[in-house]
Amino acid sequence: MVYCFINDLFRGGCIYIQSIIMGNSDLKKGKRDYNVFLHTHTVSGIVISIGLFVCFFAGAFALFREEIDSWQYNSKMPESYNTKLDYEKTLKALEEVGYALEHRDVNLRYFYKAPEAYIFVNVQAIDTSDTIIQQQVNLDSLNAIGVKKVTESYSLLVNPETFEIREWKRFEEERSLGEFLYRLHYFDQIPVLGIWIAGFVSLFFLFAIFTGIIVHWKKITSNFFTFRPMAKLKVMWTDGHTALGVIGLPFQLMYAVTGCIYGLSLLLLLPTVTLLYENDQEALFADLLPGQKQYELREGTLSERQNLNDLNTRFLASLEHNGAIENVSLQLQNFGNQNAVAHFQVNVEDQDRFYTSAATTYNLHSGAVIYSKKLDDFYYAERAFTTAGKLHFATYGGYFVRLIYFILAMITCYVIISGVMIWLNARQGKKYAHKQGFIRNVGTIYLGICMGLFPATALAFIVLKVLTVNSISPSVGYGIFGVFWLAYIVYAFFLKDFKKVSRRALWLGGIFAFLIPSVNGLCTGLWIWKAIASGADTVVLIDMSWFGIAMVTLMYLWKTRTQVKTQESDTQTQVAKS
Amino acid sequence: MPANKKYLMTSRWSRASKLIASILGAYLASISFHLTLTLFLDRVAVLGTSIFTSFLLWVGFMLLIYKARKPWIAWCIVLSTICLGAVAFIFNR
Repeated sequence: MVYCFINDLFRGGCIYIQSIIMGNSDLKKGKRDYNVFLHTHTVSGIVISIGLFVCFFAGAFALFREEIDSWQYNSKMPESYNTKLDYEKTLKALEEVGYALEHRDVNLRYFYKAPEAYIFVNVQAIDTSDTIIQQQVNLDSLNAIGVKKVTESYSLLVNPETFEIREWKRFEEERSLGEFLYRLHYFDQIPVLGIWIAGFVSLFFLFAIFTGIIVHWKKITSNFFTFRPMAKLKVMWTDGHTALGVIGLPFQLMYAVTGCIYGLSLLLLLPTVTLLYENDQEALFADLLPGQKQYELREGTLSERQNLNDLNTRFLASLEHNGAIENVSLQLQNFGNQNAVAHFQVNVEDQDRFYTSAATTYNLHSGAVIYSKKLDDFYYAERAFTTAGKLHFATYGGYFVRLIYFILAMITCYVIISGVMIWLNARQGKKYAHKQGFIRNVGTIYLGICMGLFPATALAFIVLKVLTVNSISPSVGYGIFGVFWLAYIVYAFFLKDFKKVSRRALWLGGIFAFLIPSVNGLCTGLWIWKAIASGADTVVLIDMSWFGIAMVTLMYLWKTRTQVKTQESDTQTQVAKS
Repeated sequence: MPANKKYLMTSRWSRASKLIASILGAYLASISFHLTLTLFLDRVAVLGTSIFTSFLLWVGFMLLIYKARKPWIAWCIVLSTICLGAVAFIFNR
């Protein structure tokens, strides 16, 4: 009763606002609005459907990228982050090899890349336009003796035990499977434009969500429990699309907004910096992220400085937190300069907190605290960014939340596919007979892309496991993934049967998924029962998950093998004959 | 079932106009609105909130644009928001 009251109140409010904006006469023209929003929902949905499917499917697996990487390399994930990194030895190791760090910004953080943990070091290029640099620094001599030019930024991985240094760029070429799937979900494989495409897909997804709500508004509650699998195909797809769309609505809305934030944030920053802050980027970041303030260079070099390890200890002690630490990073600004600062930032594990970050900035000369943000300190803009990040990456609530996210992501994939199937089925009548060839081609290519991603992903797990065990570059595996996916799309195009394309993809995916635990056992000897006995949690998680996916998929296919969707097959046969 | 075409625009120019209005015009209107808000409310609070509301308002304007019967009405909505925001911004700076 309360729900009905709130529902009526909300609808009444919307109608009232609508009447103010468009005038009362439009209330009688609801049919026009319905058709307009139905059309825009359809068009926006179709345009983004493939990209959105890849986003959600790959993104679902990316939720567990560290676990996937650990499974791939048969390693155990570290139980906790190493908060006592030896920063002094790290910097000394870099300087001994010839990496010049003076007057530059250097970022260091703990970084787990299966099967090992590293200290990730990012060294920023010297700002040659700065007058202090021009007066104090002899760039030519530094370039002559250094490993890298001082005008270049570069990243390194340092072993925290042996302090062996490896270049980050080489690691990018040897990307692990979890990292590959994570980057696939925002189209990182498309240079420059990939993230923008992902951002606009999210924007149109947000538009499709709102238009979908408008179109389905009157039937949201009445049709919520309606599912008619024995009715016409179009009815079945529609029921599934609407019911699961409503169930996943908060989840989808959240990802549409956070996807826009991560893909299109530059569109917000550019006008803000230009118009509001008069091109002063540092002032903008000082307001939004006060801990990230940029400190200017001063005349004179730093003769003595504080020990970074001691500062780290002071920082961790100041947190007054007894629980585990998730990660800690160190940002050195103007290293070696009179105005050098060290900015420590940490995330803690705490079941009772949603916002778990703290930071302190120390003057490297005196050790004085310049800036401090305790765990409970409130900075609105920072918390807004943190909220978006936590919701998007599911870095709260542990495995349970990520499992819910995974299931909802798969539901969203079904909503996407069902939306396209509704579009295809609605165009099977005589009215569209002259376009049947085009519609069939579009449909089979679309289904080939979306459904083909499932067996391609499962195959990637198998291939990457075999390649990793044999120390072959993972790039070969990603090539096989791409070739298989493309081959399935071409196969789907020539098959020209929606049902067969879908079912054969599910069969292949189910079989590959079933083989994953077996291949892992054969390659590494770590069968599921041995993994359980030895406490290899990530191996158990990945193997059991794929086994579960295989069982669900194969059982569904087996149970529906005799169910004949005559309307779809007959219609396609009739059109093919004509 | 597909939308009834008698309620949809047939002219390509009208469609293109609304498409541009919905993507570019709505974006500028949303940005203009938020930047104007910073003149009257706490700047940091507005900027922090705008990382969410900018996109929601962008899509809100897109819905208004497609709700409008004619492209010129859609452009009036968008341009009036942009102009009002620009005027307020210029006079208050």
